[in-house]
Amino acid sequence: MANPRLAVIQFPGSNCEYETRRAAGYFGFDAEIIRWNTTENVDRFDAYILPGGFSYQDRVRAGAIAAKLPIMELVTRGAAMGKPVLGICNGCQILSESGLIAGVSLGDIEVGMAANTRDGHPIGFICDWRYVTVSNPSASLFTRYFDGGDILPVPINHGEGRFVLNQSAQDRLSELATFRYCDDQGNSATTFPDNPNGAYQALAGVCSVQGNVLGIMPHPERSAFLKQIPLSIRGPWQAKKQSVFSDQVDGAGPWEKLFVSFYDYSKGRM
Amino acid sequence: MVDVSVYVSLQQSDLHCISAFESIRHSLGFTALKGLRRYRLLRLSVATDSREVAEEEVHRFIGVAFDIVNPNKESVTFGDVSGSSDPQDVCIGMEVAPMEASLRVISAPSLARFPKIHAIDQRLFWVLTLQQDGVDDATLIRSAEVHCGPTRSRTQGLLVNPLFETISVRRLS
Repeated sequence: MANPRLAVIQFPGSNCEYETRRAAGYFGFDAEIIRWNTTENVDRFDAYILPGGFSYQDRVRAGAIAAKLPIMELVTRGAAMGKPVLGICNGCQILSESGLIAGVSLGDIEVGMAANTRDGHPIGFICDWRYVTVSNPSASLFTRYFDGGDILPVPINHGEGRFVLNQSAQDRLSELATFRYCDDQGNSATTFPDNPNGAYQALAGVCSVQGNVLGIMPHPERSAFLKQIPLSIRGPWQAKKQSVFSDQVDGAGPWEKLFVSFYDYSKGRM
Repeated sequence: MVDVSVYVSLQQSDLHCISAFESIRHSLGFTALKGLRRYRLLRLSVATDSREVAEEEVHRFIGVAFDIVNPNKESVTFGDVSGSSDPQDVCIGMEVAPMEASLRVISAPSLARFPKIHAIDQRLFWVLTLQQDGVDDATLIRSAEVHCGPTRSRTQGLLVNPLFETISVRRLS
């Protein structure tokens, strides 16, 4: 049986599409980069990833212009059919501007990505490594294989990554909150720098109520392999990287469970 | 304390405007939009009772505050921006600001030399030129607010995200 076909949608200004395709391909997907102006045969794909970058140079707001494109209508249709959709960083911003994250009231924009703040003051763009935990593993198809004890190192790169939720999304936060920032021991992030952008409830990833759409601000594709973990990261993943021979650092890293769960679900739908 | 408004815009093409204009016309289908301009609206609070003194202080400040306004690529309009020169057009201004007041305040080293200027509050100001197409002005303006203003769904609104921004609309001409 063939592998699930995955579309990595490249927008003008995307810059993570190749590493995203590399990570998805490693975990079994038949991944292909398609352009934003593709409108034919987009429904042939079993799953979609919106990669990171700066679509349309973040004009007006990050993700705002890309969300209006015809291809997002096709992605919305796919999501409504139950196809998995993953938005990473700028992809998460596009999903939020498309009303695909949360999905309490279908089509309404319930999650916003505001400018990063520290103690209520703007801090601009952040480029660093942080830790996240999985809040509610069973809520999303992407997190089924994690457990509450997983502490995942991950890089962040964004200027507008502060999750802001409307009241209806806040009321269902226990279902929607997927990843939360934490310290290296897994304790909830309450202040900077553990919560790097002032996100509501230290949210790093939010899914839809149906569980098949996930928007995540950190970059799992840049932490998918052991070799990507820098020396500054402490904990078991660093120890694992140090313990393997140099020819094995190409092996799977902290975010293996996300990609495998994503793959298994997509394969199961075929 | 007297507040003085200054509008700052790019002298050359503003790519934010081009993308927003195309998106509103082609993706959102609001073809009554004829033109779109974007300004940074600065409100400077000056410690004086005289508007004349306040405006003079702001003029002096803007002339040397290169960390606030870049004279190589930006133009400055004091007072209020104008609408369209075509009397058939309807012009409205949309003032967009972050909800948190702390995100509107900007600081700059150049302020240290102007002790009378206490604070600078920055917002975005979009000027929309609308083409009348047989509808009355009030309907046209309401329609522009719906299509171009707060984004409520993928197919409605663009210039404001009501989850973290506020908007106020006023007619310019």
